[in-house]
Amino acid sequence: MTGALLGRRAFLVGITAAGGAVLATGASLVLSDPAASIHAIIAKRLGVLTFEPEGLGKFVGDYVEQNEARISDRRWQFFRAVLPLYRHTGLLKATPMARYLYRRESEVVSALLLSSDFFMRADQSPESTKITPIRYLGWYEDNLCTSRNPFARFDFPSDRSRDGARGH
Amino acid sequence: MDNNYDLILVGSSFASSFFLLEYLRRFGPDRRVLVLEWGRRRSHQENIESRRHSDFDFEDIAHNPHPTKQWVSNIVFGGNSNCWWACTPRMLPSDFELNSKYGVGVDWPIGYDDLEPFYAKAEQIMSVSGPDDGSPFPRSTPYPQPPHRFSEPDRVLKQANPDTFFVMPTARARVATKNRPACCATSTCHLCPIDAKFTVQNELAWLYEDPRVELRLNAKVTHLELAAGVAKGVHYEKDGRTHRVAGDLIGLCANALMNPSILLRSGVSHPWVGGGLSEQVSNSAKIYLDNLDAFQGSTSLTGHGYMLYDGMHRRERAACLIEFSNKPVLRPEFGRWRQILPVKLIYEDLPKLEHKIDIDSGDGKPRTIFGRHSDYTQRAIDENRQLLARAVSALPVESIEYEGQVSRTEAHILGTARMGTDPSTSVVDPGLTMHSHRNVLVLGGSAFPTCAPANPTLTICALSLRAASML
Repeated sequence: MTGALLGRRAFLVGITAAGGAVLATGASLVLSDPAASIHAIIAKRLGVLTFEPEGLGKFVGDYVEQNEARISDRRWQFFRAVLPLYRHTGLLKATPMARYLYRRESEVVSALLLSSDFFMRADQSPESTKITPIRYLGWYEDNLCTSRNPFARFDFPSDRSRDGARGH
Repeated sequence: MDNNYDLILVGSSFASSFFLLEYLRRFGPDRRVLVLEWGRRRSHQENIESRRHSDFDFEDIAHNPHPTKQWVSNIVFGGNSNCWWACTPRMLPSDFELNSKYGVGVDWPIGYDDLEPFYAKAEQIMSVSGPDDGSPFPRSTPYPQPPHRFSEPDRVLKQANPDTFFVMPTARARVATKNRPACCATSTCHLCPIDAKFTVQNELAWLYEDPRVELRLNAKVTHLELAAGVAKGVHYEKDGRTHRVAGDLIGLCANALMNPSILLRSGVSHPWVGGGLSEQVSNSAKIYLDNLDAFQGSTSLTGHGYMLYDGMHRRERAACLIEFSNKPVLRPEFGRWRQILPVKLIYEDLPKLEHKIDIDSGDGKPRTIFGRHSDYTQRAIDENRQLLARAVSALPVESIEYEGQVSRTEAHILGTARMGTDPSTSVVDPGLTMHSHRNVLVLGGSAFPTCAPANPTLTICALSLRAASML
């Protein structure tokens, strides 16, 4: 008799939890627009840096527009659905989503930092960005702009003449 | 009389332009040359603004029923020279002797030494930048331009592997030429924002202004008129009408998709016309570094690793060329942004007769028939998951992460009219003249009997120069 009651109770608790999870997931998906997931990545990975708010908002809008296909794919939908877990816990790192998420984080971070004045600053410390927030310079149309690579160097090492210059 | 030419070339990309260059140099002012190009002339600016190189999508020109495999063919004046990445390695001497040395594939009917002077000439024409401290292949001349600047990981790899790691040879200008600025190290070379890579448009357009040459754009060649071992004429469509022209010599330079389709529509029947369709296979990886920054190089791709390329392993598994990228992809970790190195591993494949181009009986368009790359290539892909770590062991490697899939295309269509000395197993002879029709040349990647990892463009150009020099 007691065993039967416990079984029923466990069953009811399980059903309630599962239903709650489904509702929470659905609500999260409905409530979080695609921009929220980009903001979440930026907060998680670049939270120590300070950006001009208007520029950051513009970047997120541009990112969503430029990456429409990626953001609407199945895995990103799932990511949006579990966004609270991503924001507030490290649980996703222990799931098969970890590698996928790291790649998406890398893309967002690359796009934002390379589209901003971050790498042009002499001081890239978080403290300096509080004083002078990082500016978004506009979506990087890489085929319309010269040098997508702010780290590239064009000098000829060893101070050799051009004709005799070496590549290393 | 007006419809008779000494030479008719079909297409205006690398194979055509390099052949034409040598042909015009060798022959006098009385020669008449007609170039038939299916596409139109698009300006560099138009390509940049529209982010495309051709008015045609692939589906407009051919059928590809294999969704996991992609082929690239641009119908436009200058062809794929508009969209290439300008990587210009030579093939290694052993690539020409795959069967003799390793018992797989076939040998080319020519050797490296036969092609070497033409490689050097093609590099001169393109103002190729390349290493000045050695080379994986024998060279008779230095590179015309100084080498591009290494990134820091490249420098470490060079120090540890002096004989198997080199600055990538490239037609992305290191120093400005008369018609091009120096490379700006953007990573969108297919649409170079400053027109710094060699293209037919920016360096060889003058050929098509030569008084001996008549260029007809928007002219789609349908077939050749063949009789008694020679081609009598070329049929093409332009402005909704069909036309016929006659030529003493006809060069098909319309890439390895279109060349066999023209021959097949002309009634040429040979198992290797269309057969042997192939290209390289690649996969990508990211090498995570410990306290070593990357991306200081002066162009998009800076290093070539030959550590997994040549050797007795080619008896069992394919050669692999490693491309080291200088395109910044950042780590999402504060302060470690640049401690990452993207690489691409490019594998040779063994062409199969059953991989081919045929003609759709309904609309006459070429159709690709392709299964999967060879087991020989797959074995190398599998083995190299372990061997890459050894190849880059001089770097402070934290981890290596592979992309899941092989790439859908390398944008190098090869095979489909291969060269050889035996007319029963090859379509063209070592001078790229058809065995069966002695006034027809089939130029370009069609003639490749095998598919080495090295990017094929420089070899295509050298073969064209050589073919024209043999007339």
